[in-house]
Amino acid sequence: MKLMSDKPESKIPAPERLLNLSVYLLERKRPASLREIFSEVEGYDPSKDHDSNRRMFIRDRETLRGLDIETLMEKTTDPATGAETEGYRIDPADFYMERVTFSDAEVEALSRLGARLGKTGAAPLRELEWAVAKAISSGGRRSAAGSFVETVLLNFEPGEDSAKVEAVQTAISERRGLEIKYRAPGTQKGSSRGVDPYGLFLRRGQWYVVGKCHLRGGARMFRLDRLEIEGGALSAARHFDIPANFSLEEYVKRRAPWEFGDERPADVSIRFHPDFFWQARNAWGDLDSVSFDENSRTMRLRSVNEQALFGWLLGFAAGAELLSPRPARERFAAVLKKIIENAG
Amino acid sequence: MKPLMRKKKTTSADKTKKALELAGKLPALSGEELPDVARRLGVTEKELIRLAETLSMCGLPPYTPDALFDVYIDENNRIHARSPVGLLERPVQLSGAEGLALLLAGRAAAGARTPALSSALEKIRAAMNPAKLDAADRAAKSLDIAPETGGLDPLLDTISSSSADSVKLEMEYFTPSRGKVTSRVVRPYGLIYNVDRWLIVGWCEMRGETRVFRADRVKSARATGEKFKRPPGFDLETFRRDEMFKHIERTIPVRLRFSGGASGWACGRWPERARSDNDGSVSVEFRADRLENIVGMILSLGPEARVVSPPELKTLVASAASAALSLYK
Repeated sequence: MKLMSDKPESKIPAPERLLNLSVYLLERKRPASLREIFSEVEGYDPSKDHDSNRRMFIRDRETLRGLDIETLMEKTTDPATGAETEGYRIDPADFYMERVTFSDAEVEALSRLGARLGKTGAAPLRELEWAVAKAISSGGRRSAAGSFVETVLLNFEPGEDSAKVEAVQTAISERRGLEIKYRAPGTQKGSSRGVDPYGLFLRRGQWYVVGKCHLRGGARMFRLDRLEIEGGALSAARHFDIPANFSLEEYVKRRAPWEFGDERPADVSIRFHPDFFWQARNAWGDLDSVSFDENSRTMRLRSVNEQALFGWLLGFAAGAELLSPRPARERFAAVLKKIIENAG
Repeated sequence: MKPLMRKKKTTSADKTKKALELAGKLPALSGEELPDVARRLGVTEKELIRLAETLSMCGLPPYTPDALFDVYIDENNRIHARSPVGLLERPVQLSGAEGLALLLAGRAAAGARTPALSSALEKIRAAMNPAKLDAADRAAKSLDIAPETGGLDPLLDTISSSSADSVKLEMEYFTPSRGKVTSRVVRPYGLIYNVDRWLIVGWCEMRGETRVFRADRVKSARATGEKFKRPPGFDLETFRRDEMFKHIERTIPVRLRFSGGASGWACGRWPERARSDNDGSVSVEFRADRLENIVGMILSLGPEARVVSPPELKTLVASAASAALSLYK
């Protein structure tokens, strides 16, 4: 139990004052005048002058706004003087989550989602378990964790990049540029550049950032593990807008590894052994940019990332042959020679 | 790796945020275990206890015991909470970050094809504060974590519904070690999207054991209509964590060395096994059941992946590369 006389009021820590203020304004039916707030909410000091309390209140209101809690200012009557004055309250409709009634199947589906995806460690999903728990409890239900059989599991293993993921997420949401050092594929030394991040995505165990590159101009894609964020996180000076026609969905939709990159496009033709042709189609048969010819068991594609294309092809060993273009065919043969040398 | 940013000093706004978050989540957490709540809140257990203490000092005028939050931890290390009458009995609005997490997770889990999930997420959307929903929608446009299904959609549909209904599958599967497609009956226990590929976990009637199959190596799958009984207590996540790699890496010790870009890949692929060497390369040791099964994976990493041991694997990689090279003569 806490009594007003337990400790001097000036010593009441700010978090306690802010909490007291929030629940006080939330419970008010009628907006509270400043005089009422200062005399009733623990943490303000009614013995201090009105102006210094008022300054503290203005700061508190700003802090709460930063925490997504909006205090409404409305006219009210000062009960002491009867005069009209500014009053404050928090609207419960803004503050609380609406009641949602879920079916048993929905509670189970949500619980699965929270239990399985919330622990993947992917930074943007960090709040998922809370979101699920809150949603379920808003209808007075408890989550059904542990009481179901899991038949589909998603495991992203997003590696050590979560601090960088968060920094990029912040930069995107605040529309502030990043200064980065980027180590392009095949190079050891990184080059510094400014990037305005438009989007962030996870593919095949790797995070990628899409954004405007101030070194090269235009939208570019960067693999997160190849970049370092320089000088803290956000560029102090550069604010940007994401172009209205930018769509991450369009940008990352259905792309093969050889389509992520900035090399000169090369039209590539590959012939497969019968045991591998359907495997290639299993993997990329849904892409509009790829075509398959059943009779000749060939696949045609356009590559802007030769290393990724070679990686994919190498996995087939003698099951796939790069037919054209000739320079790529020669480079691929050289890679095979190098592998043989390494193994020798 | 160097730390990206120095740890920020905790400000009173941070503390208030955490205490408010805790207060707003009280209805959702009562009875939960302390370490689990601390993990979800992103604080240490010590910090959580301090937050609970802070919260217990707060409430409504006249700040008598019945008007204060009451947060305590029982002898079983479970957290319990009671709030002043009428206060915070419902959870507070989903924050922008929570809404975003739900939107992204819903999208990522679309592969699970659960109608109940779609309807639940629709209900949550409808209940969200429009401004926060709008902010979450906008943020979700800049983020994507959905697993790719490629040309496997119809196959994954067949497998996930057979698994959910406990119906056996007849499967044509390509085994690299034999270099051919064989037909077998499989009891599908589940589907796992593991980092970069879809895997089928199931009892293989041909081999008489639980096996992991790569979905992209399935030439065809057909539900037989015959039901099977899932082993009691089988849990897909436990299998993934404790059994999956144990199962395929059994008898033959393998040591690989990765350099350049492949070393980062290796750290992501084997976070617990990767060891950095002095020259910047990364070594990984594991056990394989059949060396033939890993030749393709090693080849696909190109010259940046080298076999250290066993010598037979070196020979296999060299001969597979030589066979491939013969196509270019």
